Amino acid sequence: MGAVIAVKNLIKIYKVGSDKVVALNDVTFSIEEGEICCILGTSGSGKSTLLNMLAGLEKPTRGEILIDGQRIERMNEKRITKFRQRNIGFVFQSYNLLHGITALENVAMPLTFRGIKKKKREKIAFMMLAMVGLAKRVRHKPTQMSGGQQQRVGIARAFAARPKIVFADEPTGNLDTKTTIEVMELMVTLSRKNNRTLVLVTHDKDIAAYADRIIQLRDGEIISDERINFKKERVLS
Amino acid sequence: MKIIDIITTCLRNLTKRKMRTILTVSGVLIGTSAVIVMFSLGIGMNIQITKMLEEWADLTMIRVDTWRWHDGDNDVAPPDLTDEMIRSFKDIKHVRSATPFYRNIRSGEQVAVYTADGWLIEWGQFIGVYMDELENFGYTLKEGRFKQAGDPPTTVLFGPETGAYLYNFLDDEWANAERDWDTWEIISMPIENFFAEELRIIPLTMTANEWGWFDRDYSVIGSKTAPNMEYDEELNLIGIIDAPPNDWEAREGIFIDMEFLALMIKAYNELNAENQMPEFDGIYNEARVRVDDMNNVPAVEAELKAMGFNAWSFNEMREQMTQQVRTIQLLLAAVAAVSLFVAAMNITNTMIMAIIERTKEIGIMKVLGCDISKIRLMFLGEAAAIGFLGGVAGIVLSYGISLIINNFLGQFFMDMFNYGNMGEEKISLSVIPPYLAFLSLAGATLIGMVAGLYPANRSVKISALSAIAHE
Repeated sequence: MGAVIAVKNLIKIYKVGSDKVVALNDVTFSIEEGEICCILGTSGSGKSTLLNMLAGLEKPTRGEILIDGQRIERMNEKRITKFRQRNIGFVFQSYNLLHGITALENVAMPLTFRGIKKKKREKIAFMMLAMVGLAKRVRHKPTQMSGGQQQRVGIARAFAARPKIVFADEPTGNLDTKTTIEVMELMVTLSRKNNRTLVLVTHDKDIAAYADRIIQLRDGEIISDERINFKKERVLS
Repeated sequence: MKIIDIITTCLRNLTKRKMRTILTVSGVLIGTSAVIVMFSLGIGMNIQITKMLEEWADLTMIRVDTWRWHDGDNDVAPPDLTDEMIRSFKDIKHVRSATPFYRNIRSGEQVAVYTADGWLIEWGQFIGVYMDELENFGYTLKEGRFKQAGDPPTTVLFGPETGAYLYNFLDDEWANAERDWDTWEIISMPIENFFAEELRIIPLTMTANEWGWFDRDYSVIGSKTAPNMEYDEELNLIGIIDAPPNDWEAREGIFIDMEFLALMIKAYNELNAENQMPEFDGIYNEARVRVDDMNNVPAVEAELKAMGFNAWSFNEMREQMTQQVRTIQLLLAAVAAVSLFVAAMNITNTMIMAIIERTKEIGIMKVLGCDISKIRLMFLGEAAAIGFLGGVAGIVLSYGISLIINNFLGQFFMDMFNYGNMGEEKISLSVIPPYLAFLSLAGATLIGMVAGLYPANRSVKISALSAIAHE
């Protein structure tokens, strides 16, 4: 299995007034296809910056980012948007669902952008929602749902368009412990079943425990990178 | 993203903030209907002018003559109006027909047309024309038919008022047509059926000096005592044409083939050495040209003038009047356009508000892979939809206002300006032709799009990253 994500000598420097803040300092790593990888770090460690750059939302100051063999830091906005549309799914801490539309429409949205017809995309969206246990809530709007339910909609949306990689940025940050477990198990299961690569960003060590591999960041540098193979069996059993 | 999805999104966003949409659309509605109503008044006025002139004059006819003002400006003699020349007029673009209009003899003084009962019909003048061209020239018939092949050269057509004033030289009696004195229209003619009469041409013996309205000496005509009474020809009336009020020559004329008229003059002159008619030498003093459309009249007129002729038409008057209307119309429309401009700013404002409100939404869509051009299209579409809806509502309102103006205010204005009631017809002060409605709708939509351009571009520039962080 080849590396689906390859980062080489990634440097990100922010200019704050006349000061330079180094957010990422020469980060190099790669993630295999189907891997569930957690980027662990405290606030200010550079983990969110790294995720944003992997998703093409920010450009690095220096270095290479190869996703599925393509240099995304070299793409213009139009291409990177298209690239995200085809290859990347997102789960956010604050769910980021559109409030004006139903759960079904929210899940179908990435498919809409791909130009899939209404009937087909709503069928897929329904199946996704059923998979996350919200078959009876498809016509509900996000405001009528609990946080856990909203995040499950978010997960359904992230996986709906069958992306190669799903990025999750503190996906359980706003949830209680019980719901956190539900949501994490759901994400991991969906990734495993469909052989998706899942990149999880968190500060929570308990969450990190769901991953195959933990990359720990501190002050913009990787301080540890370990694989935890036995976890896989536990989740699968 | 499919177009249908973009449209659905636009509509959903518009219906989400109903009050704001209604207010913004109302702005466009007011602007559009103001512009439409202003233009419709101008169009209505132009139609009124044209209708008025049409009733009174022939707007597609040009009179051509060779008479010259000696203003020193252009003393070059005009070319001769020969048959060849008149036929060549037909080669001018937009000219449908041309005929001589020879009126050099004053038949009242030299020749008369009379009936077997002694009624003189000669008040109308002989008009030498191409009889076979009259139908093509656009004259219409009140009765009878036009000249056909096989008709004798003595075939004539009367105007609608030919024979409206008669004198009977046998009974020394007068008979006039009965008229409606308000409209000047003829109710009944003294002779009901000219076709049943035997019409003859007869020379008069008197010179212009001797002849007068009350000259009882008419009797000499009937008595045929004068030595020159040998010329006597029966005319063959085949129809009565119609002509607008300002074409009085035609209304009171006797149309006859020029060929025959020339022979008649010749025969008369041979018989009357002391009272000669001007001999026809192949050169006409007047011709008439029919143009296919009144809008082409100025061009044809200019061409005829360039050839050296005098050319006259009522189109000039119409042009001047419409020019005035146009000036007023533009002034009114400019005032109305101000409200449309305000509406456009209103749209821009609404769209900027919408974008600020939906910053997060835009960010999410961008992160999830929505093409930026589609985001722009979404906002442009929303702005265009506001313009379109305002345009549709504006058109509906304009037709309503137009209806009110025409039904209530129209007569009021007519009374105010003392035009009185011009016939039974309803006066349309405001006319909205379909093209005006269509152009307004297209214009309103376009204004919406232009007004949405800046906000749409702004939406594109929103960074996906900051948008999703936006709380």
